[in-house]
Amino acid sequence: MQQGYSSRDSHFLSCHATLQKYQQHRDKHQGLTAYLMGLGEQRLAQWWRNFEDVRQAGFYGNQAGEREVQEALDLLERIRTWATA
Amino acid sequence: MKMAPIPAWLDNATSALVEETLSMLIKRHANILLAVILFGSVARHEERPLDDSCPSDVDLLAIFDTTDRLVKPYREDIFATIIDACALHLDAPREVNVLLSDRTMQTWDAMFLDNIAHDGILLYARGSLPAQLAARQSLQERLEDKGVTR
Repeated sequence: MQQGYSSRDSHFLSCHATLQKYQQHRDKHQGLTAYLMGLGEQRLAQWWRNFEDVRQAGFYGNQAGEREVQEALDLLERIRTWATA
Repeated sequence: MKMAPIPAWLDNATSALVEETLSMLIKRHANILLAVILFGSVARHEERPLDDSCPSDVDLLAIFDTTDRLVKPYREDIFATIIDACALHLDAPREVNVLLSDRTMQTWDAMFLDNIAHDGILLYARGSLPAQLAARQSLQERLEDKGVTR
């Protein structure tokens, strides 16, 4: 679930959200943190890294429970709110 | 797993970002930070090169003195620290990922912990390693003493 959310939302964030807000587009998801910081979006970069930690922990076998899923959903909600504001 | 410097095979800019991240984590979270371990392809010196279309990231595992899996209530502050370090080194060609772990490490996959114990490079430690890693380290050392290699 977290993996699916992450690939979908990294695409949303890197391609659509930044295009909508900054008229800039990014083809690669790698280096997204530095890209967002270059746009002056330090807080957003922080939420993104926090979210990525939950996803990567799942990738490396950390057993995710309801709290991890809720943490991921809360962070995505913040990111979506930013993107659509 | 012995304390070791940041590997020399890492480019200067990324190495500076790792150093900054480590330094800020120690300075701002000294009371809860137990260890920082470099793991993954860079630790094994099997990283994809910078001229690759997708160069390897640098992976760090930061272990904190809490039993909370999400390292709350410190989590937000820790990521603020990580981002502050990034802000000083936006030229680093490799991204530095920091995974957070509680001190019990009980929810991690056994193979992941085995790999950390085998390949990991300990960049910082306060006191002894968490039991999950120390036990693996001890077993690995005993096997190596008997000439058994991976």
